[in-house]
Amino acid sequence: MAINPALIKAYAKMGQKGAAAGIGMMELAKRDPDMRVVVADSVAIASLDRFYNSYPDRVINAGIAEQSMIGIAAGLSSEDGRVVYACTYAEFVLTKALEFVRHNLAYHRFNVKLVGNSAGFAMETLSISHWATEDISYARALPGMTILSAADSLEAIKMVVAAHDMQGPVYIRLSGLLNCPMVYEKDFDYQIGKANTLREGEDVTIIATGMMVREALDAADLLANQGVHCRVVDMHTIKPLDTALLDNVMASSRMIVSVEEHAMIGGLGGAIAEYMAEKNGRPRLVRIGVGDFFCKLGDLRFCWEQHGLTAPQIAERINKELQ
Amino acid sequence: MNRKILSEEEIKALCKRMRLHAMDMALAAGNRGAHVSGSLSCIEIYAVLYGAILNYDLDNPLWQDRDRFIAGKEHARLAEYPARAEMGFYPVDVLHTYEENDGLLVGHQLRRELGVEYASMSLGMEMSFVVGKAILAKQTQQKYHIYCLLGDAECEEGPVWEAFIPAAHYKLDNLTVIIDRNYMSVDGNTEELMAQLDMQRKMEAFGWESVTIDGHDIHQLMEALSHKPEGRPYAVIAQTTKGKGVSFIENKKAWHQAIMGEQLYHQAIEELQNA
Repeated sequence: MAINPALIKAYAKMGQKGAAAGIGMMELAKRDPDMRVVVADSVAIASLDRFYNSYPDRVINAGIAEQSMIGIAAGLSSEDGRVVYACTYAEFVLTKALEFVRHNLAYHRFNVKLVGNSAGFAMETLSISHWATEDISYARALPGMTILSAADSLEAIKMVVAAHDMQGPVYIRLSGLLNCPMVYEKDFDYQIGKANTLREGEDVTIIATGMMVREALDAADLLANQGVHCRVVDMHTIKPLDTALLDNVMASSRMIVSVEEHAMIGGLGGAIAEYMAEKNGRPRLVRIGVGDFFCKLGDLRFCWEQHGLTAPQIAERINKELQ
Repeated sequence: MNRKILSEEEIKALCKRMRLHAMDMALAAGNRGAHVSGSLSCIEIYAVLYGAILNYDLDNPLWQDRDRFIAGKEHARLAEYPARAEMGFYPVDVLHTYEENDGLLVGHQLRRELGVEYASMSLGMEMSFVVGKAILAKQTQQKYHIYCLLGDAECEEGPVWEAFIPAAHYKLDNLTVIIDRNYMSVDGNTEELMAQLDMQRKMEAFGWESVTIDGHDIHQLMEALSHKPEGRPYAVIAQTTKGKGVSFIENKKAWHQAIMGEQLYHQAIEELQNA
């Protein structure tokens, strides 16, 4: 698939889930007729309308029953190891069905790929029941789970394709709304487990994931104007963590800052902290993420602001921590 | 094909041997205790399935057309494992090792070559898995039939019903579920603790074909399990007695999971041998 800047702009308009399902999964369906998709009354929710209209027999609705959705996905994959996607809101595909995910994916290793959309605060005023802000923590604790978190629509497309092509269970975390801001403005190589350094800078390294990658880049612009130079890394794979990159970053940065639209307990910042804790002579780590409280209800930016997740707030925090 | 089909008389004799194995396994479990009574209620169900109903080939355990059996109420290993051992999936003398560290049969492992198509263990885990398997089998025109055993009290778990609904919706007539209706859960009688009421009517209301039988009657089990449904899934409600065959275990809630000491073991063996 030749990817040009105009296409990337079109993907951005579709949002992460729209691009992942409408482009990525449509591509996969062409080359893998065995692939199945299980939904929990979530064809529309997961932007699978086009996929469903093209391949109605490959989409199995479990009804509004996410535990059953995971069990059905496991059963569909159990005979020949075929790839099965389970797609709905992140909060429901992972958190609501957690024991079924643990049993069928983590333990039995069925080749099921969870695509959780609208993670973080993307469900806005539908509020905490539909926000997924601790999902990475739950998934990280499961033995052998691969956890991916997309920074923009193009990366979301590459992620669902890469997940298809690897053996074993994967949790793909998609976030943001329609018109997802671009991080990647031209085509790039995507590899699970290998983080992408998007910008170089010798003072601070910001390691971000999901929608926070764009915010981190914008924060780095603001800081550059003030003479602070930040390296920015897109840590799109939360598990397994790219420890080779972390080793390099630790050796070459005064300070590391993690940024995520997810609880600081057990998320990207937690994963980095766990790794760094056992290393000698490490730089300081500052974690920016969702605090240990449920914030007031409102739109995406309103929620981000309460947790200090917008670009100006990130820049301000880094400035403060450097003093 | 290497597979014996047993007569009703032979299945009766098989059940007797299985109950004796169950007592041996309970004794071997020592102070960890064993799920004794819930196993004894489904001895005949397992014996009929493995003795006469399921298609399999011992020389080719992964044979594509083998019937798939998925165990719910999976703590009933004192019935499940002896049935397979007696029919030749593995030697009878490994049965007593089922509690040994990293043993062949320990815990819950997915071991298709030993006839274990899935390890569910957590109640309510298996039914949606079975539905996924049955949907795929229909889509890919498989010849095999899929059987699943559930406990009656297991049906208090919501995901069981979450899966009963799509089973009927997708007209999964390649699926037979047997419900071991022993009227008991850990804490006692189901109808006192959480009434299950008329399970056949419930299944019928969910769009299934269903029948209620005596789950200890070999002939009734053979007849009910030989039947293949059309256009909808099929549930056999097998009315049983928890602890069946050993007087001091029957309907005694303390025997759900219990330690089998030497003295009681000999008493049970004597009863079973004289039965």
